[in-house]
Amino acid sequence: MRGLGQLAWRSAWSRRYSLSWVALSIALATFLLLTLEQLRQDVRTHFAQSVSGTDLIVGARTSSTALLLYSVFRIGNATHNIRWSSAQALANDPAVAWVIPISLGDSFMGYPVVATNASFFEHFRHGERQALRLAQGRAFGGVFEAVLGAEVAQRLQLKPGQAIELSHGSGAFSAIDHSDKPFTVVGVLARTGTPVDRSVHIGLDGMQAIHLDWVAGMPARQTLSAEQASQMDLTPKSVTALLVGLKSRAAVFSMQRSVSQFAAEPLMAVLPGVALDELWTLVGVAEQVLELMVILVAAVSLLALVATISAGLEQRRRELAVLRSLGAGPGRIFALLLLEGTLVTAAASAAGALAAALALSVGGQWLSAHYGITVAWQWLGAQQWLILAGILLAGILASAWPGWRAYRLSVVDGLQPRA
Amino acid sequence: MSAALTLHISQLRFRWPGQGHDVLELTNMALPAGDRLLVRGDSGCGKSTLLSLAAGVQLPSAGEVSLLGQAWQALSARQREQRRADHVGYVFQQFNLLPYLSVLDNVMLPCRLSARRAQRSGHPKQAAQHLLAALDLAPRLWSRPASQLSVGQQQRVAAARALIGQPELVIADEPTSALDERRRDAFMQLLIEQCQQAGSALLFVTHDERLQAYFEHTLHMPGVAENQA
Repeated sequence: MRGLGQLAWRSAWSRRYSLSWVALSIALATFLLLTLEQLRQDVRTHFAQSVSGTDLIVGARTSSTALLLYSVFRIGNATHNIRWSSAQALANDPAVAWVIPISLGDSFMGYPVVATNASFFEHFRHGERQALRLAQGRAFGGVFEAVLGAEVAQRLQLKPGQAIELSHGSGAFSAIDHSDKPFTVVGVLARTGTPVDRSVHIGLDGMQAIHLDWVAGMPARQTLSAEQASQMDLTPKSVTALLVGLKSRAAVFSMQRSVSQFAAEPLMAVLPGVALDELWTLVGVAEQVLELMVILVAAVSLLALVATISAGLEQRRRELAVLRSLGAGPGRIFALLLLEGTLVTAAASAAGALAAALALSVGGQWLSAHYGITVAWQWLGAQQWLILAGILLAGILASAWPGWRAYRLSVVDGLQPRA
Repeated sequence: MSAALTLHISQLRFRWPGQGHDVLELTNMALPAGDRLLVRGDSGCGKSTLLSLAAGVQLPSAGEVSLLGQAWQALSARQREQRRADHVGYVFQQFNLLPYLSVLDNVMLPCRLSARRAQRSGHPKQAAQHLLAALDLAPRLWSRPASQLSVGQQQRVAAARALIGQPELVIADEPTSALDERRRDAFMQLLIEQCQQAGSALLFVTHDERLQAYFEHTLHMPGVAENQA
């Protein structure tokens, strides 16, 4: 036996069955707090990095968060489109440096199809204003050519040269497809950690071509072959949204106002950062409720620790009195119980942290596969250390109460019943 | 009062707080270094209270109890605890071994809590092993939890814990009450032999008259009715 620490450990170990339930609840609280914090951080980072360098997102009038979600994150659908003429008018505005048109609505094996043009490869930025990079092949040039996001290519084992058939509408199990006009994969983008990884990119003319022979959202009886469609006018009639870069950031608000007053049709423009802030404000309420619940779980766990150590105190009066009679002063008895609570909390929070690491590495793969959100367990960042330190401190404080009660036990208590 | 006395009690009166009468009165009692004193008396006559006073766990209501020439009343609670740890070995009636510690760790416990006892033992682990062997406890039992031992074995471990570090005073509170005659005699011989080797004075409480032969001095305490009369 070496010192107080080992004495505390052996004493706690001898009551491991009652203490293990308390430790389990502390571990669970630690797990929830760490996982929640990591998810919150990673989701925010993921969203913030998904679009950078874009000054405005333009779309049909809706809420700013809805526009941001469907245009950048492919979540939800647009209620209306933007006429191509309106898109061109905006592109020709003297304040505008570049425009990336985006047309959505179709899918491939559950992955969204994004119809756009060459400016997407030239101007789209993500992360710290990083440009898109082709890992294999080249950008699309022909009508029926597609460039895959890294996740799509990896999951579906696709390479340049292979043919793919798009489906009409979104979702993994679309009933109607465009099998009469297959696309050829010509390139695969390098991984970006954004929704681009989970998208199939085609030209606007390709999107127009596969819908030429469609009427009211259904294929017409007489269909056009791919070759026939290629010979026709493939100028798009509308697009879903525009990502706009301005020549000067200073013009962003005047341009936003100008879009909202656009005469030809009702449009709106949002600043990606502002829309994200609105989104976080919205999500923040749910986050706070969730955090509050987890903090309550932690508080209940620590109260259980106090209750267990306090209840054990009655049974341990004799043990503590023996230690006192052998020379352990009240300070040492206080330290013993404090150490015991600290050991239980430390062991439980370490177990909770390990469980969080395991859950995030397994769950992270699922999130990445289904939502394109990269969640990675970064071994204890500052925030995680803060949470662990908070739990440990709360555990120490919780143990102080039974420690104080034990401190006040007289050496006579437990050894000698009153005559 | 001679410095050669391990324990000296004079004009002692003790009553529990809130009680209207003394439960213990003792005019004079002296235990020289290395000697053995048997305290006899019926149940409830205050034998255990006398031991608490001798060990400085309780303080007298009047009079003085001194250990090695130092009155317990003159010391603070912390100083009393340290002095008790340094100079007194205690064999409790119910042994009071810590069930989650091994036999060896139980015996070494006083050395962990008193630097003086650790120093006097030389090497605590070797001293503990030596004592356990001398008290006839087989080495295969030394690493077992104390709770797995028989009553007789636990008693010998408790004696080894009291003797380690050669305290000047060993106090034993009816440690033989649960033993049959053969085991009781064997234990007494071992205890006295080890006390002599350590040079410790022994203050031994019992209501068993047959143990008187092992002691140089005897103190007979009056019964409760006698005491209150």
